[in-house]
Amino acid sequence: MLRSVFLKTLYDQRKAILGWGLGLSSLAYLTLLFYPSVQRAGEFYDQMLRSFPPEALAFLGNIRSFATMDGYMTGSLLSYLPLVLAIYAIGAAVGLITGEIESGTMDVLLAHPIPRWQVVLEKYSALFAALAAICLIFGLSMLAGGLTIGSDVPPGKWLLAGLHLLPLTLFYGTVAFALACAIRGRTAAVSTATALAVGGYILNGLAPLSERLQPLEKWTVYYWYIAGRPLGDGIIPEHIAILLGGSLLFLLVGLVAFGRRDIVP
Amino acid sequence: MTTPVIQTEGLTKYYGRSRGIIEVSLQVEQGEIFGFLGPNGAGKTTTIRLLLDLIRPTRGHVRLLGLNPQRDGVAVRQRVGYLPGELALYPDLTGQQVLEYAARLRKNVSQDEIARLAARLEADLRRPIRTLSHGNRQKIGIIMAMMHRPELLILDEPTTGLDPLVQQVLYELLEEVRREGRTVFFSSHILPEVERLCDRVGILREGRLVAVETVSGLKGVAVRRIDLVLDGPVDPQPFRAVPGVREVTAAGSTLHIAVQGSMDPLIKAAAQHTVLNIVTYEPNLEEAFLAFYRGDGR
Ligand SMILES: Nc1ncnc2c1ncn2[C@@H]1O[C@H](COP(=O)(O)OP(=O)(O)O)[C@@H](O)[C@H]1O
Ligand SMILES: [Mg+2]
Repeated sequence: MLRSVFLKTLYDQRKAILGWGLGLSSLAYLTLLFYPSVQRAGEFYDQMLRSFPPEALAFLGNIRSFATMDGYMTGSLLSYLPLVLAIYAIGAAVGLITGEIESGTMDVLLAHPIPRWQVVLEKYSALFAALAAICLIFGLSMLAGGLTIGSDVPPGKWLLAGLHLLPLTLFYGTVAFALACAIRGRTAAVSTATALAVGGYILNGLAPLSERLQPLEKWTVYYWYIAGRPLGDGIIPEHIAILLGGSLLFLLVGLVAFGRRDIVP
Repeated sequence: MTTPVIQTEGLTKYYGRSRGIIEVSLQVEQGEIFGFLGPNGAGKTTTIRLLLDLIRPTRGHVRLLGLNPQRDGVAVRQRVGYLPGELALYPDLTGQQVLEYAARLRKNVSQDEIARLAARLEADLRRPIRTLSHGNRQKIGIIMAMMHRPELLILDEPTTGLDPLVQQVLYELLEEVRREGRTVFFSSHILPEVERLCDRVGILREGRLVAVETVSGLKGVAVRRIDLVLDGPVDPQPFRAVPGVREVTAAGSTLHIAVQGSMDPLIKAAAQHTVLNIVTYEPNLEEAFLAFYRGDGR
């Protein structure tokens, strides 16, 4: 586990991976257990849904019915889950760089014969792996929930729905990571990435309300996530490509910035 | 002539508008122990972090082992060992694990060397860093800096917080490094250890390198204080004329004297009287500095 910066970093995240993985998983599993009863009372819930103001619907992912698995899971969990997981992604990303600089261990690390770009890439890979692992655990727990309630959603779709969280949370995490690479202190990185995550979600929810905001909807990062429906009409590969491409771009910014900066606690 | 192990030219670092170091030009030759002296805030750590490419110069150049640490960083750091001034290690790992990780990043470390250094320093490698005292952490840091037998060892105030016995071991280790023709650069604000260990010293004051001297040269200018306790009051005047004596005050039968350079003429002059006791004080850096500042040092 101490063979490389990548493995050490991943090893350091083990408790977080387990904690977040299991936390989100139990949420998913419990949510799924309620699906049969919601589906039976589908008309009741959908009437409630129709009485919601449109802005509330937007915050629930604009679902049309609770009686479908896609509508139910998106409305009760998947619409806001990336925001929850972003807390981990942003915190971990900033911790990996700024945390290590502020504690002073980055000095020792960079005094070894390893180039700065490699430190950045290995740490980023570990962040990626940790997020992917959490999403996978989440997908597996949905699969388990689906089997428990005898759902006809095929296993691959559950896993896909879990991994579908990855591109967006990775994007938020990467923004924080890049800023941590570039700028001293935690404030700029954490607040920018958090503003992006929360702001995008809110803007996406409010956009349908106003004609002026409407065109902005498609420009929030969140939109590129929520428009894809792994349990419904399917994912949208172009959107995923945009999110992953955006992450790559920020990673490059982080690589360049970290190579040039002063390491000052 | 061989290339200097460390060479800086007009090295300058500003943190924003605040001064780090200014125009430091310095050469350290292979096989010497070079002491880098200066009070807190003088710029010792700044210089060392520039050498290691942790921070980048505002102006000026650095060469380490003939290479540019910014461009050839990996090659340079393979051959350099570093102990930071404020050493931080991963608190949850044991000493053994920290060294294992460091050894993986280096690839050319022998376990025997780690064991040898740990035995010499009596370091406990099994306990988590978190549970170690400052001095015991420092031991792990010293092993990490030395375990690959670097050609150049850079230590930032390595003895602060070490107990005296361990300090002695470190001094011995550094002398061994020198005997093997390797080079040591270490910063300190403690004159006696620099005197004991170093071949040459550089003195840094408010960011500027104000002197580079051999240790014997520095001893020649250091001002020492001694008290002569005599069997009765004496006239201090004749002592003022003794070569090297800078200052004499009498208090009862005790003379407080400041001497620069050799003690010999003073001791001979004192021998004219009945001396009950001689109290000497380690020359402190402050006073060594003052000699330079007054310009009467050479
Ligand atoms: N990160 C920093 N930001 C601003 N000023 C700094 C920073 N680090 C050091 N300095 C300033 O640079 C000067 C030299 O500091 P330093 O190199 O730590 O001295 P020393 O190691 O000799 O005690 C001091 O005046 C200090 O205040
Ligand atoms: Mg210092």
